[in-house]
Amino acid sequence: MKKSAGYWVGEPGEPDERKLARIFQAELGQLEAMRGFVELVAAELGASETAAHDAALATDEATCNLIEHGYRREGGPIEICVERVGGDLLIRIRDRAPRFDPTVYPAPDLTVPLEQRKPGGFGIYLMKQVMDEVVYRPMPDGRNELLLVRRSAFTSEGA
Amino acid sequence: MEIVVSQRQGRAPITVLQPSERVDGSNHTELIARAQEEYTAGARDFLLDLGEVTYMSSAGLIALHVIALLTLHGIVPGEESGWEAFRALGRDVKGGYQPHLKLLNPQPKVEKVLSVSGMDQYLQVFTDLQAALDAF
Repeated sequence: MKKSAGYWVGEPGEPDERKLARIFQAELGQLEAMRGFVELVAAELGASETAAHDAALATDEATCNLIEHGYRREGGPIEICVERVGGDLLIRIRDRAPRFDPTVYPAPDLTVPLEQRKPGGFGIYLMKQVMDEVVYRPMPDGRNELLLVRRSAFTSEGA
Repeated sequence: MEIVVSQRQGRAPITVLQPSERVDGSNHTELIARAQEEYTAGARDFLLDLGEVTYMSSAGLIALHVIALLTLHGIVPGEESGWEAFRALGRDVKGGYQPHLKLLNPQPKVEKVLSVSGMDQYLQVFTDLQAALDAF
Protein backbone atom coordinates (compact mmCIF):
# COMPACT_ATOMS: atom_id res chain seq x y z
CA MET A 1 0.00 0.00 0.00
CA LYS A 2 1.22 3.50 -0.80
CA LYS A 3 2.64 5.20 2.28
CA SER A 4 0.98 8.47 3.21
CA ALA A 5 3.07 11.61 3.63
CA GLY A 6 3.16 12.79 7.22
CA TYR A 7 4.89 12.05 10.45
CA TRP A 8 4.12 9.64 13.21
CA VAL A 9 2.95 11.25 16.41
CA GLY A 10 4.77 9.47 19.21
CA GLU A 11 5.70 5.85 18.79
CA PRO A 12 3.55 3.76 16.51
CA GLY A 13 1.93 1.22 18.78
CA GLU A 14 -0.70 -1.41 18.27
CA PRO A 15 -2.79 -1.02 15.13
CA ASP A 16 -5.63 0.54 17.10
CA GLU A 17 -3.37 3.12 18.75
CA ARG A 18 -1.82 4.66 15.70
CA LYS A 19 -2.15 8.20 14.51
CA LEU A 20 -0.56 10.32 11.84
CA ALA A 21 -0.45 14.08 11.52
CA ARG A 22 0.57 16.60 8.91
CA ILE A 23 0.62 20.38 8.72
CA PHE A 24 -0.91 22.12 5.71
CA GLN A 25 -1.13 25.73 4.65
CA ALA A 26 -4.58 27.29 4.92
CA GLU A 27 -5.19 27.70 1.20
CA LEU A 28 -8.15 26.56 -0.88
CA GLY A 29 -5.67 24.96 -3.26
CA GLN A 30 -4.69 22.60 -0.43
CA LEU A 31 -8.19 21.16 0.07
CA GLU A 32 -7.59 18.23 -2.25
CA ALA A 33 -4.30 17.38 -0.52
CA MET A 34 -5.96 17.55 2.91
CA ARG A 35 -8.79 15.26 1.79
CA GLY A 36 -6.34 12.88 0.21
CA PHE A 37 -4.24 12.74 3.37
CA VAL A 38 -7.22 11.92 5.59
CA GLU A 39 -8.64 9.33 3.21
CA LEU A 40 -5.29 7.62 2.71
CA VAL A 41 -4.31 7.50 6.39
CA ALA A 42 -7.79 6.37 7.41
CA ALA A 43 -7.56 3.56 4.86
CA GLU A 44 -4.06 2.64 6.08
CA LEU A 45 -5.41 2.43 9.61
CA GLY A 46 -8.08 0.04 8.36
CA ALA A 47 -11.16 2.25 8.09
CA SER A 48 -13.90 1.22 5.69
CA GLU A 49 -13.95 3.01 2.34
CA THR A 50 -17.17 4.81 3.29
CA ALA A 51 -15.87 5.94 6.66
CA ALA A 52 -12.60 7.15 5.11
CA HIS A 53 -14.45 9.09 2.41
CA ASP A 54 -16.88 10.63 4.90
CA ALA A 55 -13.99 11.66 7.14
CA ALA A 56 -12.31 13.30 4.16
CA LEU A 57 -15.53 15.14 3.27
CA ALA A 58 -15.97 16.35 6.85
CA THR A 59 -12.34 17.50 6.91
CA ASP A 60 -12.86 19.38 3.65
CA GLU A 61 -15.89 21.17 5.07
CA ALA A 62 -14.10 22.03 8.32
CA THR A 63 -10.93 23.28 6.67
CA CYS A 64 -12.74 25.19 3.92
CA ASN A 65 -14.68 27.04 6.64
CA LEU A 66 -11.47 27.60 8.52
CA ILE A 67 -9.69 29.04 5.48
CA GLU A 68 -12.62 31.31 4.60
CA HIS A 69 -13.93 32.37 8.00
CA GLY A 70 -11.23 31.51 10.53
CA TYR A 71 -8.13 32.71 8.70
CA ARG A 72 -10.17 34.97 6.38
CA ARG A 73 -8.03 33.81 3.47
CA GLU A 74 -4.91 35.29 5.03
CA GLY A 75 -3.29 31.89 5.48
CA GLY A 76 -1.82 30.06 8.42
CA PRO A 77 -1.09 26.53 9.57
CA ILE A 78 -3.67 23.75 9.73
CA GLU A 79 -2.61 20.57 11.50
CA ILE A 80 -4.62 17.49 10.70
CA CYS A 81 -4.19 14.37 12.80
CA VAL A 82 -5.86 11.09 11.89
CA GLU A 83 -6.16 8.58 14.71
CA ARG A 84 -7.58 5.16 15.34
CA VAL A 85 -8.86 4.67 18.88
CA GLY A 86 -10.39 1.27 19.28
CA GLY A 87 -13.13 1.08 16.68
CA ASP A 88 -13.37 4.84 16.23
CA LEU A 89 -11.76 7.06 13.62
CA LEU A 90 -10.78 10.48 14.98
CA ILE A 91 -9.75 13.51 12.97
CA ARG A 92 -8.25 16.41 14.94
CA ILE A 93 -7.95 19.71 13.14
CA ARG A 94 -5.88 22.36 14.91
CA ASP A 95 -5.27 25.92 13.81
CA ARG A 96 -4.01 29.30 15.00
CA ALA A 97 -6.87 31.41 13.62
CA PRO A 98 -8.90 33.63 15.96
CA ARG A 99 -11.33 31.70 18.19
CA PHE A 100 -13.90 30.17 15.89
CA ASP A 101 -16.48 27.57 16.86
CA PRO A 102 -18.17 26.25 13.72
CA THR A 103 -20.39 23.87 15.65
CA VAL A 104 -22.70 26.64 16.91
CA TYR A 105 -23.89 27.56 13.42
CA PRO A 106 -27.57 26.65 12.96
CA ALA A 107 -28.53 24.00 10.46
CA PRO A 108 -30.12 25.23 7.22
CA ASP A 109 -33.90 25.04 7.11
CA LEU A 110 -34.50 22.40 4.47
CA THR A 111 -38.22 23.21 4.34
CA VAL A 112 -37.59 26.66 2.86
CA PRO A 113 -37.77 26.69 -0.96
CA LEU A 114 -34.46 27.10 -2.74
CA GLU A 115 -35.53 30.46 -4.14
CA GLN A 116 -35.97 31.83 -0.61
CA ARG A 117 -32.76 30.45 0.77
CA LYS A 118 -29.36 32.11 0.66
CA PRO A 119 -26.78 29.84 -1.02
CA GLY A 120 -24.40 28.19 1.43
CA GLY A 121 -24.65 27.01 5.00
CA PHE A 122 -24.36 23.32 4.23
CA GLY A 123 -20.75 22.75 5.21
CA ILE A 124 -21.21 22.28 8.92
CA TYR A 125 -24.51 20.50 8.36
CA LEU A 126 -22.83 17.95 6.07
CA MET A 127 -19.98 17.54 8.56
CA LYS A 128 -22.44 16.69 11.31
CA GLN A 129 -24.41 14.36 9.07
CA VAL A 130 -21.49 12.17 8.01
CA MET A 131 -19.69 12.08 11.37
CA ASP A 132 -21.02 10.88 14.72
CA GLU A 133 -19.50 13.70 16.76
CA VAL A 134 -18.19 17.17 15.95
CA VAL A 135 -16.62 18.86 18.97
CA TYR A 136 -14.92 22.24 19.20
CA ARG A 137 -12.33 22.90 21.88
CA PRO A 138 -10.43 26.14 22.45
CA MET A 139 -6.93 25.01 23.48
CA PRO A 140 -5.01 26.60 26.38
CA ASP A 141 -2.22 27.72 24.02
CA GLY A 142 -4.68 29.78 21.96
CA ARG A 143 -5.21 27.28 19.18
CA ASN A 144 -8.57 25.94 18.08
CA GLU A 145 -9.22 22.23 17.89
CA LEU A 146 -12.06 20.59 16.03
CA LEU A 147 -12.54 16.91 16.72
CA LEU A 148 -14.43 14.79 14.20
CA VAL A 149 -15.40 11.29 15.33
CA ARG A 150 -16.70 8.41 13.27
CA ARG A 151 -17.79 5.50 15.44
CA SER A 152 -17.40 1.88 14.32
CA ALA A 153 -15.35 3.02 11.36
CA PHE A 154 -13.40 -0.22 11.18
CA THR A 155 -16.24 -2.70 10.94
CA SER A 156 -19.09 -3.26 8.55
CA GLU A 157 -21.17 -1.02 10.88
CA GLY A 158 -19.12 1.95 9.73
CA ALA A 159 -19.46 1.12 6.06
CA MET B 1 -11.74 22.29 -13.76
CA GLU B 2 -12.51 21.07 -17.23
CA ILE B 3 -16.11 21.72 -18.24
CA VAL B 4 -17.39 20.30 -21.50
CA VAL B 5 -20.34 22.19 -22.92
CA SER B 6 -22.71 20.79 -25.52
CA GLN B 7 -26.14 21.57 -26.85
CA ARG B 8 -29.14 19.23 -26.99
CA GLN B 9 -32.62 19.71 -28.25
CA GLY B 10 -35.62 18.96 -26.09
CA ARG B 11 -38.83 20.96 -26.26
CA ALA B 12 -36.39 23.86 -26.09
CA PRO B 13 -32.63 24.09 -26.56
CA ILE B 14 -30.82 22.63 -23.57
CA THR B 15 -27.24 23.42 -22.61
CA VAL B 16 -25.40 20.46 -21.12
CA LEU B 17 -22.54 21.28 -18.75
CA GLN B 18 -20.24 18.38 -17.95
CA PRO B 19 -17.65 19.19 -15.29
CA SER B 20 -15.09 16.58 -14.32
CA GLU B 21 -13.20 15.27 -11.29
CA ARG B 22 -14.02 17.44 -8.30
CA VAL B 23 -16.20 20.40 -7.40
CA ASP B 24 -14.97 21.88 -4.13
CA GLY B 25 -14.14 25.18 -2.47
CA SER B 26 -11.15 25.72 -4.71
CA ASN B 27 -12.99 25.62 -8.03
CA HIS B 28 -16.78 25.84 -7.65
CA THR B 29 -16.79 29.45 -8.90
CA GLU B 30 -15.47 28.18 -12.25
CA LEU B 31 -18.67 26.20 -12.71
CA ILE B 32 -20.80 29.23 -11.83
CA ALA B 33 -18.78 31.43 -14.19
CA ARG B 34 -19.20 28.96 -17.06
CA ALA B 35 -22.96 28.80 -16.51
CA GLN B 36 -23.10 32.61 -16.41
CA GLU B 37 -21.16 32.75 -19.67
CA GLU B 38 -23.59 30.36 -21.34
CA TYR B 39 -26.59 32.23 -19.92
CA THR B 40 -25.24 35.50 -21.28
CA ALA B 41 -24.86 33.79 -24.66
CA GLY B 42 -28.56 32.87 -24.59
CA ALA B 43 -28.80 29.54 -22.75
CA ARG B 44 -31.86 29.24 -20.52
CA ASP B 45 -32.22 25.53 -19.70
CA PHE B 46 -29.28 23.67 -18.20
CA LEU B 47 -28.59 19.98 -17.69
CA LEU B 48 -25.64 19.38 -15.42
CA ASP B 49 -24.05 16.05 -16.27
CA LEU B 50 -22.27 14.90 -13.11
CA GLY B 51 -21.16 11.54 -14.48
CA GLU B 52 -17.48 12.50 -14.46
CA VAL B 53 -17.55 14.24 -11.06
CA THR B 54 -15.92 12.01 -8.45
CA TYR B 55 -16.16 14.42 -5.52
CA MET B 56 -18.46 17.24 -4.48
CA SER B 57 -18.44 19.22 -1.24
CA SER B 58 -20.91 21.82 0.01
CA ALA B 59 -19.14 24.32 -2.25
CA GLY B 60 -20.53 22.32 -5.15
CA LEU B 61 -24.00 22.66 -3.62
CA ILE B 62 -23.49 26.43 -3.58
CA ALA B 63 -22.65 26.30 -7.29
CA LEU B 64 -25.84 24.32 -8.03
CA HIS B 65 -27.93 26.72 -5.96
CA VAL B 66 -26.45 29.81 -7.59
CA ILE B 67 -26.92 28.36 -11.10
CA ALA B 68 -30.56 27.56 -10.25
CA LEU B 69 -31.05 31.19 -9.20
CA LEU B 70 -29.30 32.34 -12.37
CA THR B 71 -31.76 30.40 -14.51
CA LEU B 72 -34.68 31.93 -12.61
CA HIS B 73 -33.61 35.55 -12.35
CA GLY B 74 -30.87 36.02 -14.93
CA ILE B 75 -28.33 37.17 -12.36
CA VAL B 76 -26.47 35.59 -9.49
CA PRO B 77 -26.40 36.81 -5.90
CA GLY B 78 -23.33 38.90 -5.25
CA GLU B 79 -22.04 42.17 -3.91
CA GLU B 80 -24.00 44.20 -6.42
CA SER B 81 -27.20 42.22 -6.11
CA GLY B 82 -27.82 41.73 -2.40
CA TRP B 83 -29.54 38.67 -1.05
CA GLU B 84 -32.66 40.53 0.07
CA ALA B 85 -33.35 41.48 -3.54
CA PHE B 86 -33.14 37.83 -4.50
CA ARG B 87 -35.40 36.79 -1.66
CA ALA B 88 -37.95 39.30 -2.90
CA LEU B 89 -37.69 37.89 -6.43
CA GLY B 90 -38.41 34.41 -5.11
CA ARG B 91 -41.23 35.41 -2.77
CA ASP B 92 -44.04 34.07 -4.94
CA VAL B 93 -42.31 30.84 -5.88
CA LYS B 94 -44.01 27.72 -4.55
CA GLY B 95 -40.88 25.59 -4.39
CA GLY B 96 -40.49 22.11 -5.79
CA TYR B 97 -38.18 21.09 -8.62
CA GLN B 98 -36.31 23.82 -10.42
CA PRO B 99 -37.68 24.18 -13.95
CA HIS B 100 -34.48 25.24 -15.73
CA LEU B 101 -31.76 23.18 -14.04
CA LYS B 102 -31.64 19.40 -13.81
CA LEU B 103 -28.95 16.88 -12.92
CA LEU B 104 -27.76 13.78 -14.72
CA ASN B 105 -25.87 10.69 -13.53
CA PRO B 106 -24.32 11.67 -10.22
CA GLN B 107 -21.88 9.08 -8.89
CA PRO B 108 -22.87 7.46 -5.56
CA LYS B 109 -20.64 9.70 -3.42
CA VAL B 110 -22.00 12.83 -5.09
CA GLU B 111 -25.54 11.48 -4.89
CA LYS B 112 -25.07 11.06 -1.15
CA VAL B 113 -24.13 14.74 -0.78
CA LEU B 114 -27.19 15.76 -2.81
CA SER B 115 -29.39 13.52 -0.69
CA VAL B 116 -27.99 14.39 2.74
CA SER B 117 -28.27 18.11 1.97
CA GLY B 118 -31.81 17.75 0.65
CA MET B 119 -30.75 19.36 -2.62
CA ASP B 120 -32.34 16.47 -4.52
CA GLN B 121 -35.72 17.76 -3.34
CA TYR B 122 -35.20 20.83 -5.50
CA LEU B 123 -33.04 19.59 -8.34
CA GLN B 124 -34.46 16.65 -10.27
CA VAL B 125 -31.91 13.88 -10.76
CA PHE B 126 -31.92 11.61 -13.83
CA THR B 127 -29.94 8.57 -14.87
CA ASP B 128 -31.18 8.62 -18.46
CA LEU B 129 -30.22 11.43 -20.82
CA GLN B 130 -33.37 11.34 -22.91
CA ALA B 131 -35.60 11.33 -19.85
CA ALA B 132 -33.70 14.35 -18.56
CA LEU B 133 -34.08 16.20 -21.85
CA ASP B 134 -37.78 15.38 -21.98
CA ALA B 135 -38.27 16.80 -18.49
CA PHE B 136 -37.58 20.39 -19.54
